[in-house]
Amino acid sequence: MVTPSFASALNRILSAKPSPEALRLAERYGYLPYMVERYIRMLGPQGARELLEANEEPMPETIRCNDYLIDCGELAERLQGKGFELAPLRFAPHGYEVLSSPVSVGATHEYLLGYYYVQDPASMLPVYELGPRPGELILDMAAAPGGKATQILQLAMDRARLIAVDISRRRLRALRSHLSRMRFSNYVILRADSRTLGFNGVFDAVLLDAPSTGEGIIRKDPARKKSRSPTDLKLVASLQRELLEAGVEYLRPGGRLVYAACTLAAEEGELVVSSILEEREDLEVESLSISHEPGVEEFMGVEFDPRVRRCGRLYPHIHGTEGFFVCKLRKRPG
Amino acid sequence: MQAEKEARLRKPRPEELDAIMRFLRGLGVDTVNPPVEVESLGLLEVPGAVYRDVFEVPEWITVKPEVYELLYATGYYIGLIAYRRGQPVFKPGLPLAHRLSRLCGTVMECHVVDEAGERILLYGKPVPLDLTLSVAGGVSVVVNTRNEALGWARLRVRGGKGYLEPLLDLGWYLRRGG
Repeated sequence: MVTPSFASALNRILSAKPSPEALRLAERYGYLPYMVERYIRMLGPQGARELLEANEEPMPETIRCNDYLIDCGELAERLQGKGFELAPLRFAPHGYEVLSSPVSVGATHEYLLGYYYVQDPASMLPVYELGPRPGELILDMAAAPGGKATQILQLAMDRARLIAVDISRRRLRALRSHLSRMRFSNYVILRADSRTLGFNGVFDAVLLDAPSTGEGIIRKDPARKKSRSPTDLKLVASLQRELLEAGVEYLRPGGRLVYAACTLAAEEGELVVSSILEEREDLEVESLSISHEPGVEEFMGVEFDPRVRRCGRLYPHIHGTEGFFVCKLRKRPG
Repeated sequence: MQAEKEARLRKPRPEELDAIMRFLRGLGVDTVNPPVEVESLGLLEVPGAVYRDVFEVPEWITVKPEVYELLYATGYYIGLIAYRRGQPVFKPGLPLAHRLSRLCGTVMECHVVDEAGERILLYGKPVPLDLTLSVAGGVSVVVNTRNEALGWARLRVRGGKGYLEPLLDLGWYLRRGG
């Protein structure tokens, strides 16, 4: 449900007129001006320029080794033997950057055997924060195409019990295929709207890798510089809020939820989390283990719940990743 | 092709279980102690669909009737049951090939391909026998020299020349776009 305060906060943030500097930079880099204005307000003019420059660099290709099936050192050796040049990712234990490859990264025999998943670097981090454990009942609310669902089962050695939900039949095909390819079996896939599952108070852990504007992956998909209007942003943020509202209900007391979105927009990050924190008394925000910039406590004159400072932001120009927001919530026991 | 309506999960009928066991026996696998957990098998039935996926359903799944219609897939995929002239026929899946590959060279014979044969097979193309290191009779799991399962193939002879006809290979994951 979209509350009046959430809607008015969204409108307030998105009502700012682009400055001359924002218009100039938007023209130069090919963005919608409202996006650049928001970067300037968030990072300052210099930070905004650095972000825009970093977004011009193509994303590195990265893979996540599936150590449920193969030792990561062995996988690296096999791929290097085939002419791949790899570098371990310093912040993701199973991650490798593909510096060069003689063939498409998703076309090797090792890929077909399920030994790795092609996954963006920051996208690997939410599941490490979730920390899935064997025996736990875990919900992945927007599971397709399966990067994080497979990672959940990998970290729990296929001994967590995963309910993977998505609404798109086309994307569910990919989810099922990846789970099968990587030889996981302790799951059930439901085709459903995660807002209305009705599994209240049941899960030890919930992952909400929310559908987003994808503003964070401009490096990979430059069309996103211009493909999302403020109206689109409002719609997406409203959906994210509804999903998070439901996800928190699905947690058992003491359970944890990781909310993630591939975006730098505060509307999709701090505003969504803050609006849920403000209407509940049973949630805490936990510190993250990854290196990150803190969540912003105020944006465009809208103040957020101060606890969002413990959420995390990843920036292309600071961390070398896609733009990302992640937050870990805990439901108080009892 | 699966129909559009949602699925329901049910136990295999005796004749469907027989079809699965018959297939495994044809591979030389011991069906007294089969490599699939018979008690946990579930068929995903979609009204109007031409086949039924078979899974080893995790024991913690107790799917309530109201959730059935949401069910898309679950557990370890074994293969599918199709009906021909009213009789069930079992077609194995890729995960089953992985599981059975552990038995290659012990209780069952498998097709073993060399590196060149592996490349050809993963394009879904027939593999000439000179690119194999050993072959089983008929349908069996195909493995590489590391004993990694690459799929299923049938030994065929045409014009006096033998070859492996791929039935299902790992390249399917790419060709299907999944």
